[in-house]
Amino acid sequence: MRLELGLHHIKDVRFATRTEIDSDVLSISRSELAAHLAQEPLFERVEIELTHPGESCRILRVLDVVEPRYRLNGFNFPGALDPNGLVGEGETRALKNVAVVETDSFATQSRSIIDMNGPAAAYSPLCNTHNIVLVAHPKLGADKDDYRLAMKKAGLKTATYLAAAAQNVTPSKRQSFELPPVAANQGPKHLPRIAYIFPMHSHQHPTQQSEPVFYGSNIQGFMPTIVHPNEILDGALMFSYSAFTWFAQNHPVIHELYRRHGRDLWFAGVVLTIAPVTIAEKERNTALAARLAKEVLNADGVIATKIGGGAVDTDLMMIYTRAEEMGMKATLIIMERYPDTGITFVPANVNALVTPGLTRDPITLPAVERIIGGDTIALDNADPDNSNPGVTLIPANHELNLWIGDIAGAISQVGASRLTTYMS
Amino acid sequence: MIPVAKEVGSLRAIASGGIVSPTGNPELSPEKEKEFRRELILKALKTLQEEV
Amino acid sequence: MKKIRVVHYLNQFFAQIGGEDKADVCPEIRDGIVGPGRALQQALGENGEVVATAFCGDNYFAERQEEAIDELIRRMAEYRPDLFIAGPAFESGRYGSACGAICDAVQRRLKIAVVAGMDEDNVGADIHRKRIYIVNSGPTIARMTPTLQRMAALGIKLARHESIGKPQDEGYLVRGIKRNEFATKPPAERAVDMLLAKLRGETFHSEIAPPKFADSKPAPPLRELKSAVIALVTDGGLVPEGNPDKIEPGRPTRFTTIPISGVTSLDPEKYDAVHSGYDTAIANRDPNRLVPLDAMRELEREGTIGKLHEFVHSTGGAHAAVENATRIGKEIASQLKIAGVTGVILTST
Repeated sequence: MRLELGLHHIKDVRFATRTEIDSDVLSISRSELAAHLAQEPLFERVEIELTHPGESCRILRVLDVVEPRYRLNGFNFPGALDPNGLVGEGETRALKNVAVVETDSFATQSRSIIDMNGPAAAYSPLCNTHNIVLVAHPKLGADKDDYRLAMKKAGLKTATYLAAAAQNVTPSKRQSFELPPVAANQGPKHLPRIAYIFPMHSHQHPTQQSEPVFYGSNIQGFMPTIVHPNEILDGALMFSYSAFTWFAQNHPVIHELYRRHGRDLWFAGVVLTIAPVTIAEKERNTALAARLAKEVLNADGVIATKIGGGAVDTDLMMIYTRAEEMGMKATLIIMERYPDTGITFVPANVNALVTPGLTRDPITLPAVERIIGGDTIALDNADPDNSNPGVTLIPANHELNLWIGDIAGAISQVGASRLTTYMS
Repeated sequence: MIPVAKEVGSLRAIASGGIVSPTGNPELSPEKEKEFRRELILKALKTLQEEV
Repeated sequence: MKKIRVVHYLNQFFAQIGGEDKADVCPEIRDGIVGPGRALQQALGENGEVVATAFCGDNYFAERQEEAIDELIRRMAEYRPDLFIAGPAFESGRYGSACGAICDAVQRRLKIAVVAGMDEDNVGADIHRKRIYIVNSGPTIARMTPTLQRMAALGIKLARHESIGKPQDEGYLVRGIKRNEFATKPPAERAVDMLLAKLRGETFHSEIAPPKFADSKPAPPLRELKSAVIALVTDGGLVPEGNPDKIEPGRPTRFTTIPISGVTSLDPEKYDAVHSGYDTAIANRDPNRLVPLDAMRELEREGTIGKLHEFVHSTGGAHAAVENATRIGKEIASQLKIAGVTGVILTST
């Protein structure tokens, strides 16, 4: 199965009368896009803002970030936007250097931000893209969970709408992703077969009933299964929380395995799974996932990442242990949260961990001239004796003491960052 | 989270009803859920009497 | 750039007052430099000025720590310092502890940069290394000048709010605080490299060290349940409605004690679950799913257990710092022990 991405390296984005791409400049008809999004009954009013790398601008309450993509064969974000259908093959256009940023008007306690300049820009690719920001004011009485799903859908609509402008324009570059069926795809004997075990959600924060995560499914009770990596890259997966969709479309581990496929490894495939909430289900899912990698994908080694909170460190350690018991070698990418220990625990048998960074590492971000998506940000009261735990709302355009993990895209649990950690 | 508990030295640990309802199971009817809870607690009490 | 105003702290010996015989001298402060302050001033160069030197007898400080700190800070504040340098104390335990304690207090109360110096095995280092920067002086006084140079360099950076490098580069003791740094390769590439090295049988280095937890021995088993006093404890964040003790949804520093005398079941109108690490909706609808009070009361009534303890101790365990979790656990355990509790069921989310 072969997916060809036609890449458009966009140099600039601006509002104009018509939506089109010419000489690598993306023009957007604000009124047409706004009318398109205003059809959502839960939105009272939709604002579409544009901000460029280098601007003194801060985006607040980032809900999700999506790269504009358009599949020439249809089924854009099947089950979530378009009706269901399969993705991962054929030709898809992608607008590079551009991102659609969804903000959540209900999330007044959110610390997730994007700064378009200043120290944050060194950490996250999302601070360096031309960002089309959606701010939708909810109708009176709108349920915050329904609104959240509506906003996620609006982001997908916008991403598809913008990339559709590329369909009759020649791409700057083409990138192809091809992996034939496993049975026909054992590779040369000297290259180790590497599989990726990918928990995409942790139900410690359950998905909503009508929430589309994988091919439109709410993935409750999801059992480990084999998927084609192209499906992750081509719009089958929208993370519920804990990671941005942008990092599924630009999945760092899948990209790396493809990059080295045939050179120093053979990409054996992807096992998609979830982290459930009882220990019995965790044991079942992790064992099954490792089994699929070993007995169906015939992997020699596995890489696994995690998604979710501290509870999922358990699942990841189990995947590692089961994999090695079955005779494979394992390496985990696991995000650190705690300045004292990093992660919750490391069993004695686990000796191969990679860190994409520590979220709770303080950083001071300077005051900015412009803010999008709200006026205030909720910061922890920093009383030394913690006598008044909770948050205080402060004006978001001020200098802020945040954590590096608050910068959207600085550390993604699926293994994207520019960082490593050390003990100071 | 039993593996975490055992790793840090808390050896008397039994499986709960899950992260979001340690001593419950919302899928059961109220009567069955009470039974489930009672059985779980009895098991916990038994564990307190075991040598580790 | 503005000159950094520095106050230097010494004990009675380095302040040239006397030896052990003068270990009782009370806290004092003098204008300008004293003794090793000369080397400190040289190390500061044009960047800073030692405007005052404070000192105190090691015994006086050990016996009247609170008073001594109050007095020293009161006097120091008059000099409007930007930076406080204490020591180096080398191997001297009382002096090292004093340096650490005063630095800690000055940092908190005057909110200025502080640097202490002492040997890594000094008892003061163990206690204070996490909250203040301590330059490793080694045990011998022969290292006075190079140590003060390191302390000055680090102090200048701190006073100017510049970013601080790694322990081995700046010369301070590892504090046990993780930081990020930019990497030469992205994590996915490092993970594949590590896995391939592992498959080839080559050496590799895991990037996250296993956290160390204090050893604890399990208690001997309960002899019989009929006479046992059982307490319920939870880290799932059970609180009375309104969370009057303001239990934190994450990074807990304390716990709450909920009286349950006469309560036979947890009423969802009267109790809540506060915790950032899991969806509390199900527990909120029936808090007995988090703390099994109704089941325990039944067993108490039937005589299966002797007695259900009259309090439920609760905290919210999300992202707990190990130090705080350990302290909370010890405090709860101590209260339970005093109350005669013999067994605990802890429900965890």
